[in-house]
Amino acid sequence: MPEVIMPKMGDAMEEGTLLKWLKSEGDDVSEGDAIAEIETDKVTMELEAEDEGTLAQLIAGEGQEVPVGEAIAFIQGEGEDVPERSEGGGEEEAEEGGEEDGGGAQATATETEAPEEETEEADGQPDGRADGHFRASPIVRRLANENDLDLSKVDGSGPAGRIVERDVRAAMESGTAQRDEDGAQEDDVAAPEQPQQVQAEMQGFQPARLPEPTEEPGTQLVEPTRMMQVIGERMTEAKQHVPHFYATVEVRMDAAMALRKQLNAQLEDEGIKLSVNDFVMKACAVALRSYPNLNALYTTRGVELHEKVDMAMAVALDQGLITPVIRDIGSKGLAAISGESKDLATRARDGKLQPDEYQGGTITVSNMGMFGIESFTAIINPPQAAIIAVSSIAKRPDYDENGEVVPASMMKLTLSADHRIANGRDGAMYMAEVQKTLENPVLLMV
Amino acid sequence: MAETKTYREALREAMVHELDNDESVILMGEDIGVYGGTHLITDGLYDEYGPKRIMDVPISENGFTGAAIGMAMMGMRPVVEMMTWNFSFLAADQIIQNAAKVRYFSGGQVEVPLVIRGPNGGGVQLSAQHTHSLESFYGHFPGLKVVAPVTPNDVKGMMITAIRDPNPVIFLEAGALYGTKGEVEDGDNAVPFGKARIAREGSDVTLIAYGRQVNLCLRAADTLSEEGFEAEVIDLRSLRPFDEDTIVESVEKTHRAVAVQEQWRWFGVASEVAAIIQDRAFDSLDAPVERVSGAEVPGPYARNLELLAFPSEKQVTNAARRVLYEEEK
Repeated sequence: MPEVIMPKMGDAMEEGTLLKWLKSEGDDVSEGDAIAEIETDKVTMELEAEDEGTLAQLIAGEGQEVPVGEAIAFIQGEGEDVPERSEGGGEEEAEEGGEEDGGGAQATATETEAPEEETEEADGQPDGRADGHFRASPIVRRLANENDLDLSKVDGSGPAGRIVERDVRAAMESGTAQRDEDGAQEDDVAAPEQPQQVQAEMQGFQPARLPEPTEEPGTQLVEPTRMMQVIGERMTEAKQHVPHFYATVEVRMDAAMALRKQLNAQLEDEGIKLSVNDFVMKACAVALRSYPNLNALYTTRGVELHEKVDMAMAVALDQGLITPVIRDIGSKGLAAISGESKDLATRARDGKLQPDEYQGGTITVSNMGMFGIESFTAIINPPQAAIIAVSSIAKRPDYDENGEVVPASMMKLTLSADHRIANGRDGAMYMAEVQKTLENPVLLMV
Repeated sequence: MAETKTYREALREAMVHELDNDESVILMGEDIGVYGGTHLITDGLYDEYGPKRIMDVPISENGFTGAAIGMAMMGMRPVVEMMTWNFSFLAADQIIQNAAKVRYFSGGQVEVPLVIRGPNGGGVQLSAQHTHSLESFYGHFPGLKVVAPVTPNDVKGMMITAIRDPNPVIFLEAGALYGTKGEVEDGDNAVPFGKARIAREGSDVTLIAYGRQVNLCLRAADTLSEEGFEAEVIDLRSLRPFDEDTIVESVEKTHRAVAVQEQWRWFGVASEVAAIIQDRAFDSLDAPVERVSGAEVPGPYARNLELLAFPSEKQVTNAARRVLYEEEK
């Protein structure tokens, strides 16, 4: 019988959340019917049936996180039996399904047992995991368990600091390794885990440094969404491991805005309306031709320079943000870029992007111009080499070539670049090139 | 009563014991009769038992081994000598395809009470084609029993057991040790298969070997004792069936183990020993199990190279020092 599995929506996806069932057990479904809503770290999407039949078994419950590839339901074709399932984890079980062979009863029994076992493990004695952070031989681990020793207090004399039997015997004789009753929590990495600690560990923080919630009146405890968790992890990783440097230019946008006004007037009938950001993205792409090391990925085997510019654009969502990609933007005209960016942004907000639409960019542009921001710096989106932060256009006095004060529309662009890939000079010269292109926007046409 | 005898004499004594005991027992082999045997194992037996029970055969290993299998299937108890085990490659088809499988194929109706015996291993400058330790080769096939005694007493007791066993037994003698002496029990001293012998008791590290490497381990144990570590030496002596319990009980006591074999490291008995220990005594281990094996080259002829190609006392003591987390010397 066909299984409906948690699909893999991207290379990094390991599990997804089943948000909501759109069909009930027993419903007839056809190929293409939306049967459930699932949430990955990037999108919320509808899962479609790939087979026709009766939705025989809903294995996953709403809100449950399911590893990629695991069955969340079965679709029963004509004349097919509901299979037995040996593993627990589901919330509902078709008890009538397996009457012929008693399989239903068997599956139910396993299931009621399984959760109890898990609880026992979680609440039980700190076992091997308590000293899981030390190199220690098996006999040492056994002795530590039997004699309630704290291996963090024992120095290992074996290779790579392995704690071996003679070390633990010596510690037992001197009594230096007794587990400290009061302070057990401090040293015990495997103390009962709390959601915050799990969360913090995922983000690479030291769990001990996180405070407990105050739970005072007027506070509210919110669990981060899956998307926020992933963003948190990735940005922490980027800020900790990618050496950022920054370069800001101020661009006089009058010429670009005049050209935009002119083009928009001429293209109005075709329904095309170019945004300032379309100009900025195009300029950033055009300028990259001379600075290929900013259109690069930091990989396991070196820096991979890319000829084509696949430009990721940050789109803010209520629950986080996502960066859909305009492929080979350098070869596209402003009208094409404009249409594509509008389409991607709209579908991003609706959660309708396909994984290949938000994966694999080579550089990112993040625009906060619409919020009246004077300037900001962005965090690099690994493994990319650079990200460009686009701020608002503001009118301010400037000098013309005769030294007269004239009004000017100015906009700040800030590059964040990976210092492992590029140096300050590359960044500065690249930003100057972007500035020159935007201030002479006919260059966008060549 | 026990008397000091050579390995050769003890082996002959076992066969004489069974020749007298059971008239279906016969000996076959190249030059074992009139000539008395290349290694003089059967010296004098032709005169006593005659050509029907002590049969000289042509230089045709596959032929006479096949004949012996047929005799065994018909109820005889032939003991076939391979002049050295190296020649058994010629008879491997009969041994593996017939001897090991007839009982299985016949659903247990036909037994093959056959013993094939001869000197195994190297160490006496016979060069690459005559220097093989074939225990893992034959030990690989279900249907064959494989034993490798090292003491004169065991070679007698295990030969008596082998002849009485209703299954084909690969009897690997320590060819380099035919002249070594030891106490041998008088009369019927049958030694059961599948039971290892603790050659030396100790508490700090277990050295596991069989065949002539057992003697090497005993010498290494003396050296270690001078350094303050008491090694337990286990002589496996029966490789199929295999005595797992004795090894496991020893490692549960000592927490460290070194497995020694003359044969090459890959797919060897020592690897099997290491796997059994990690499987059954994991929580007792204080160090990874060490293996000491022959060098990965065809057996050299030159004496100095031959010595380098086989496990040495120094290699064994250093392996023991490593599992004891002591400095190598």
